[in-house]
Amino acid sequence: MKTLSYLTCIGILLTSFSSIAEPASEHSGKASKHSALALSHGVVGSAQVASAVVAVPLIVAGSVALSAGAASIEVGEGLSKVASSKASKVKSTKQVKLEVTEITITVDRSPAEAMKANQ
Amino acid sequence: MKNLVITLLLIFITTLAHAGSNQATEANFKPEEIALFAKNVEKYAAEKGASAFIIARIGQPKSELPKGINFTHTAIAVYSEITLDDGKKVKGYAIHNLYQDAKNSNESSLVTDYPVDFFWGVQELKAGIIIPSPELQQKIIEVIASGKNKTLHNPKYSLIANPFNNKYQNCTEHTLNIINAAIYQTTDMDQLKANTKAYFKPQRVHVSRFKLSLGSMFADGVTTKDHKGKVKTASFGAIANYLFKNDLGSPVFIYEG
Repeated sequence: MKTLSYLTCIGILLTSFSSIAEPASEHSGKASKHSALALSHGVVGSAQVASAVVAVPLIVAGSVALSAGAASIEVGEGLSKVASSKASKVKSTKQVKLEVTEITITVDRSPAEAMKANQ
Repeated sequence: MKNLVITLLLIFITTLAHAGSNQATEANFKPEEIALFAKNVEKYAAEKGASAFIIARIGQPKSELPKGINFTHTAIAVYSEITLDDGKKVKGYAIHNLYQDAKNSNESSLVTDYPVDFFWGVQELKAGIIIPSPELQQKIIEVIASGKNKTLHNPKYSLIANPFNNKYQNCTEHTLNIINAAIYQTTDMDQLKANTKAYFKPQRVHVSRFKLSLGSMFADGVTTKDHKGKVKTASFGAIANYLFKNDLGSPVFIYEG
């Protein structure tokens, strides 16, 4: 009976951990997610769904969006003026409304599904 | 009696299995609802001109979250040129995450996904958004674009990682590391942790030390080995306070679908 009480207590206590748990990533579900999205978009007739292959960060300078690599010279010049041990400001940019695609983008399909699509 | 013990043991195992790795592949809302919500979050950030912002989601029922924890996952969204599988290039946000591994709860990986992926398994269509100052946004993008974020990753995962050292890491601590690497222009972990200790106020985890110790004994992905005294961890709210206090970020905006 002592064992039972002990185990019951531990069981109750450990349930706390499920509440701050964070979902993990798993590739197996991506194919079904992509299909579900494609199906839902087909039904409602709205924007298309697409898989992403790669994403390159952009830095917005004025009203122009540059790839982070291309803009690094400008940022680098600003950074060279600041001490590395404390927070400092570099050249600020104006706030501009950015363009966002209407396409629903999802992570690429599973290797198995990608192979099927390429055949 | 023997059956009862076996039943309880099975319950424990089930509890532990869910403790660190609930599957984000199960949607709680219709795909079109999630897609619309995710796109609206993107549009909100784009209207604000955010090249990079801190994004958070609620992956567990809010009623079950410990006091002071309002979001269960935090990451950084970066405005990007995205190449699609048909070769077309479009603009939108890519999200840079640290995710607990599905098969090994004690480890994590860096994963880039997109808003609809990010919100796929949420309990509520609610997003936490912090928009850093334009200067800090640029520096955060530099850290990510240069790949320095990878050097800031410790794959040893703990749900309640102590942000004052680098023994273990969770998603929010990794986000904080990127922010501080951007602010201080260094990837020197000792320097980053010294600065974190000096200026960052973490969130107290309101679960008793006894429970946490038991958790670390029985559950993967939870340990108190990196803590002394009260258990504190990085949270979305704590990052918001940190940035706001230092004039480096907007107040938290909650976007609801």
